Amino acid sequence: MTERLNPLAQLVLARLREFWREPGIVFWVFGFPLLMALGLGLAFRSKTPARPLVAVVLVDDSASVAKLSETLGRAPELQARVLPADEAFRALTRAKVDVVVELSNQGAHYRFDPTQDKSPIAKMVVDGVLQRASGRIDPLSSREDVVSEPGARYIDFLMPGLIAMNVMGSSMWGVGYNLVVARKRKLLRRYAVTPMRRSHFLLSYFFSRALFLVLELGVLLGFGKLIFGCTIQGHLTTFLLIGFLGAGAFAGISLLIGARIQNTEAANGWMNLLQLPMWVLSGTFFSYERFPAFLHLPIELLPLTALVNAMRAVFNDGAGLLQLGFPLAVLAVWGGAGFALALKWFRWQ
Amino acid sequence: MREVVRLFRSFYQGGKDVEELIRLVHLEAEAEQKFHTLSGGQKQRVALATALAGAPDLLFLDEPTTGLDPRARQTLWKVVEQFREDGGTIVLTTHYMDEAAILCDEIAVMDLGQIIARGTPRSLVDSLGDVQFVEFEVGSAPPGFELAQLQIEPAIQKVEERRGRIRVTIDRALTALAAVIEALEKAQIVPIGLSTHQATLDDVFLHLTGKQLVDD
Repeated sequence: MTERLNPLAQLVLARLREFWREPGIVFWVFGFPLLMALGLGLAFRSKTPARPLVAVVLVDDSASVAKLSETLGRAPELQARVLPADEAFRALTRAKVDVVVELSNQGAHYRFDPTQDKSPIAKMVVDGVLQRASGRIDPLSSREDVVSEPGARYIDFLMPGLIAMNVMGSSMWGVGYNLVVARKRKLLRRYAVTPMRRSHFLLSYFFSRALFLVLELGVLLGFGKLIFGCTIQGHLTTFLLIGFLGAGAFAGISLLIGARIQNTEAANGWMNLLQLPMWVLSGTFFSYERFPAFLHLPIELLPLTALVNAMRAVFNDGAGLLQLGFPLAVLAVWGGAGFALALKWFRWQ
Repeated sequence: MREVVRLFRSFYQGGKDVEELIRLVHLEAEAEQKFHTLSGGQKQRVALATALAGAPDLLFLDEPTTGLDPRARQTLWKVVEQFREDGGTIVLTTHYMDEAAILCDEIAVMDLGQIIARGTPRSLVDSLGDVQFVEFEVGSAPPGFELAQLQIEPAIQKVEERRGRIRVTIDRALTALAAVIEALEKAQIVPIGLSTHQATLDDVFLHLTGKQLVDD
């Protein structure tokens, strides 16, 4: 009773086992991006800005000065403390207070260091309070809304970027590098001398990547929602589709690297050479629009930029596939070109 | 390791069952072990199982036992012999003459990329001529004794010394052996560790490649 073994299923199983039995890989694919999201999310979490610290010096001992000082003490938008003059100036030079205000019968005298970011603002806040208390009526009526809801924070900007970066990393290492290792161990040669269908071999990478992609996206999205309350504004399926296209594009590129290279050191170098510039340029951590304008188009043609932009558009702006023609086309071209050249140049040994 | 065999078995339409392949290479006990925990000989047999997965008629083995301990070699030989008995043909390259002598029906000796001799193990050994070897170490010898003094008997073809051990080449007749012993007695030499043996493929190889060197 000979059981029939499906070669494609066996190859996919082999891929998955390779992955799970290597705890290092599991960490780099799942653990590392989570730690990164956690670290960056905590570092840049939105906090309510501290109120300006004000040192109040009473120059004249009069009722009007006492009244102004009292007003400052009650003002909710600042923290005022009455100090003797020398102590107040010392506190200013040591940046313990943002501004020193001397109250006299003639009015207010501000001292502050304009090179300290917070000082001019503190001065304006104190001045506003004092002016209004002295009878100023603002001619223009205005309202304020504080923005801190999910979807507009740094972590919401960061999350899709991190996911895109992770898709790139695991596709690059999972396909190209894996091939180089297999070639180095003469495993590819062993496969090549069997009647194994080449298409099965390629498809095994496709299926295992697709499976892990769903897991990766699930873990990262779940983590973002659980810890930071990040939610996808657009459709989850749209996001997944973009993820697939991105993973496919990077798989194509890394297949090209893995097509010929014989040793893992060279493969390592190529992987980093390709990925490193994109980490910096592609707007994962900050918007690439900070770079000079003439660089924008070249940066937008990079596959990671395309993936980050598409994912961010769906994640933060709720965009649909139809609005993402350009980045999706960029990904398709990279992936298609990578696969085509890789199949042409591929070597089994 | 069973997973490796299953994977390679899956590439072939026909052929033996996975469990049978594992049995064939005597790895039933190690089937659940991870490949990298296996010994060199066991790894080599896993490779053999993947090669046998497609039920081939012809098997190429390139130095299959290089670097293996004697027991691992024996086990691998058993697998090869079983394949041969089942009607398979094997092309085997090896540096071990005893391996060639035991496993092969026909041998080709290669030197510097050229086949310099071909034949059955028997015929190759016979090609050295009608010879056997007597080897011993000299325990005590009278002063002034020279090795060449032994070569007076007509049955003795050659006397050489290698690292303190004397090797005498004689023809295969029993009388030749008697002549050597007689000569030793006459010269008052006490031999230690005296042994006689037939020529082996090692001798053939050394003879053939040695001659080749001289020819260059």
